[in-house]
Amino acid sequence: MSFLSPWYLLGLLGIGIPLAIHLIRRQQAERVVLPTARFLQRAPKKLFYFQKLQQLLLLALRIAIIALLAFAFARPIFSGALSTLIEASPQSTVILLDTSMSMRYGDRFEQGKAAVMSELESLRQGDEAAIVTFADRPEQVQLLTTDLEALKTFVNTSPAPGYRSTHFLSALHLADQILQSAHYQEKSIVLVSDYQRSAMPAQSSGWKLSPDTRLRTIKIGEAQTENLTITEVSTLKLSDQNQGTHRIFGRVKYSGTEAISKVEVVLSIDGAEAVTRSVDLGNRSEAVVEIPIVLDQVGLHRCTLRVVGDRFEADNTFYFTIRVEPPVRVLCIAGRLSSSEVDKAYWLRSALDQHTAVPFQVDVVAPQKLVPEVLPSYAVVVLMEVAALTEAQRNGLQSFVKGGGGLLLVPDNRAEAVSFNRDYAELTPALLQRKHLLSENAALSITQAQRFHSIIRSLQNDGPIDFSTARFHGYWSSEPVAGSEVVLGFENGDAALVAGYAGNGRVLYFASSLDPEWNNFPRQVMYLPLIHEAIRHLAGSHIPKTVYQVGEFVPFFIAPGGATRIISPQGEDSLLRHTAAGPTFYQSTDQLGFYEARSAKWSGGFAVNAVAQESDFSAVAVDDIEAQLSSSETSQAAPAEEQMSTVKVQLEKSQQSWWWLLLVVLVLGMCELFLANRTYR
Amino acid sequence: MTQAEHTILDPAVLASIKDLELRAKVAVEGFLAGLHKSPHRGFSSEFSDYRNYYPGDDIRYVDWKVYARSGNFYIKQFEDETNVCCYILMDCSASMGYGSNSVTKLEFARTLASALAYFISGQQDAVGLITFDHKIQQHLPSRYRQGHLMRILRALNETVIGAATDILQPVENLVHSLNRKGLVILISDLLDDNENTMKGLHQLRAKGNDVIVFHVLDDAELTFPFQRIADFEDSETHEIQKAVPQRVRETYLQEIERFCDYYKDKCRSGGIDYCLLNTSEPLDSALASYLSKRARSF
Repeated sequence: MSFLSPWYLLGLLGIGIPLAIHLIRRQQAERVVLPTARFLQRAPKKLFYFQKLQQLLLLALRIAIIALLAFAFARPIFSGALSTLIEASPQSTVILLDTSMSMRYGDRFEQGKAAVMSELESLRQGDEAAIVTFADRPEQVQLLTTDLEALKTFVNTSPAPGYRSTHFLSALHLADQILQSAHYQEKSIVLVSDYQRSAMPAQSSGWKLSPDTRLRTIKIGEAQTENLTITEVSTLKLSDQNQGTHRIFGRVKYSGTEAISKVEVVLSIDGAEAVTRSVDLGNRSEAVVEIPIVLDQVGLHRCTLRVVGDRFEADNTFYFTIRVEPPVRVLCIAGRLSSSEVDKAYWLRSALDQHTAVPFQVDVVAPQKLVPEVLPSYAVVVLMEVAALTEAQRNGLQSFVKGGGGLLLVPDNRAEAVSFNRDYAELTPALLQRKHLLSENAALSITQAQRFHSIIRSLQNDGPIDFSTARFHGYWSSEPVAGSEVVLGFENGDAALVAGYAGNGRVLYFASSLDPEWNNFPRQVMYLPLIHEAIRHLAGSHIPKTVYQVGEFVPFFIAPGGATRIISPQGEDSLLRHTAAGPTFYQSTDQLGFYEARSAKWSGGFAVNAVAQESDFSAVAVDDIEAQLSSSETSQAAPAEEQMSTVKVQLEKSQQSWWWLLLVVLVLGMCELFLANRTYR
Repeated sequence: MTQAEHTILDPAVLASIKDLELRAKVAVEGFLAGLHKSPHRGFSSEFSDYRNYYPGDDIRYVDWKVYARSGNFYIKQFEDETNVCCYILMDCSASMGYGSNSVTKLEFARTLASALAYFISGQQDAVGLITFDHKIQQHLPSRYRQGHLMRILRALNETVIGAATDILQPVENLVHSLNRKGLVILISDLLDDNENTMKGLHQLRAKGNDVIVFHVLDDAELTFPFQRIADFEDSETHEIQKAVPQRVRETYLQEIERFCDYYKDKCRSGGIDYCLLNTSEPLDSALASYLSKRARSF
């Protein structure tokens, strides 16, 4: 037996205290002269001798308490295990177990667990180990411990692999960090995986494990695999001449090692099988299947494209949606330009007429001919003549917006700041400050965009955003009101597009003109998509991205005070609420299938599919991984005394005999208390 | 009895008075001053002299004939005619040397004996003294004459602690030497053979003597207040008793009570007055006991 803190054994000297007290008190046993002592003759003598015995017992108890306290603080280690451990050169190990979707193939996960159990069995008493399950990120972690039984329990209770993809790097980072707090010099990471090629970090990342950490690989998986999957689906709505006709393109990929020729592809719409196609892969690994369908019914249609014929079902189905929208009715209030043959709404109307997926129906009315009663029949009003409306017309517009309608405010050259700020105070998301008319050379560009806003995100879905070619030489500087959000901004920091709410309706404010009077924007490529997304945003018929990959965050733009309920494919319910910082993200996209999204005014959904690369089971050479991640540097070994000290600490921690000693001290203390109350001096 | 008077009779206070005569005087007069009724009432007395009347004197003793003749009030004074032979037997064995506080049993007994002697002398009675342990140490015959009280007090003052107790021997000696009935006062802790002691007392009683036993015990002997384990040594036999006070107290108190009850019962059945005295308590109960006996007997 050895001790972790042997200096505490000096506490054994404390044994002298009760011993001395006992001896001193014994010497001081007084003799009392009492003439009537004869009457004590009948008192039982055994009581006196029993007291003597009790005193000796008390002395023994007190000596034992002090001795055990000294031993407990010295933290004893039973030397048999210590010598074994020191000879065996103890090690710290982090075992990484792959739980990505590919581990669902065959019995890979069971093989992986068996490999981990085997690793744990090979550890000796005192060795410490940690286990991390991971996919594209670390999932469950059991930190370094010498309790091997707890680790085995952790492995046995690990949940089955999900549908996430594999990425080694984040798990290896974590393992390396865990080993920073390891107690032993021998450090190793054991990576148990099927080693898909896509899981490897990029060569250029350059990250390596710490110098004294060794990477060991355990490869799981079969030599022969076959896997069919739909890696991508895109839909195209044909022009208005082919009313309701969509074309669906699906990419079928085969990544197996066994030859396969024909596969069957099944398209289901709203749960019913609609079309079946046979695809001849031949010698190819990929093929595209094209399926035309007719969808007339307005609403969101849930579609799946499924391949049949392999042993791995998890990635055989691709989930997607097709939304069939009614035309969005837009009323543009604009007069005719004096210097032109066209009205101010010409460019806007031209832009809206170009879209096929969501049709717009645009009507233009002059301000003096606007009848407020017609407003409820439109979804969006674009007001280009802010100064020309009467009070009755403005009141009608206000009722329209607060009742849920959309309004795009475009204050032009004839607008006046004071009257605009007064007349549209309850509607506008920004108050006018000053009109700026710049020379052509000093014209401004839009350089700032709120990337989390639904308009910008939708624009980003179609490609990169670039407003640099649009030059603005006339605009209103404005002050956004509380609760509004600047969506686009000029290079000098002034707001270009501001979004806000008025009652139940959405309002956008554009600081320049939507015709070429103050800018060249209508002639630029970004004009059309911006107008489309702005009108869709105002109409609430915004077409969001509806197909996501497992693990991807889904943004929701929730009005203040509102909430959106998400129901997963397995029926799990969660509620998202408005956040001031931007969109609210739904993060639990761990299951494949359709997710429902419902709010008070809107219902929809999105689909989640497996990451395509995860379906590719081709493996990478494990030697490459070890070479790529292991550091060529070596750290200096810790001194032998330090290692010995560390071993002792670990072993003592596992034994924790001090705890039992203190427990015995407690019991003895209670006995001492009991006996002391019954012992007389 | 007021608190002040009570204090005067406190054994510790009395013991601090070195002069035994003065101590006896203080004890007796302090005791008498506290009595509501004179113990002398009913005593047979003989006319002795007249003296002037002072306010407060009992008007029953005003001689009305003299008043008729002289016009002045005179009080008749009387002289006791009884002369009783008293003997005080005081134990001065080793056990009487014990005292758990400032007063030993012997000191208490000495004060009591001197007070009684003073008292008896003041009543014109003859008083004698025998001090003893296992044998008689001093023997002063019962006399009533000038200077005899002083001899007794001096003898008491010179009394020293002796050896073991033997009460029977002095009592038997006294039985043989007494030629007339009298009053015998035994002051002792009675830590002797019980039956022998009672045998001697019965012999005294059989001779027609009145006997008063003052059983003097220390407060510690009566209450056993000890807390620590100790070797308890008998002061006469030097026998050691190891004991745990907390465990033996109950048995001890039962034994001491049985011991006292023995003497109390035997004395009562034998016509002997028995008075248990705690040395930490005042002397008045002892003196009152004596006076009560004196009044009943004579």
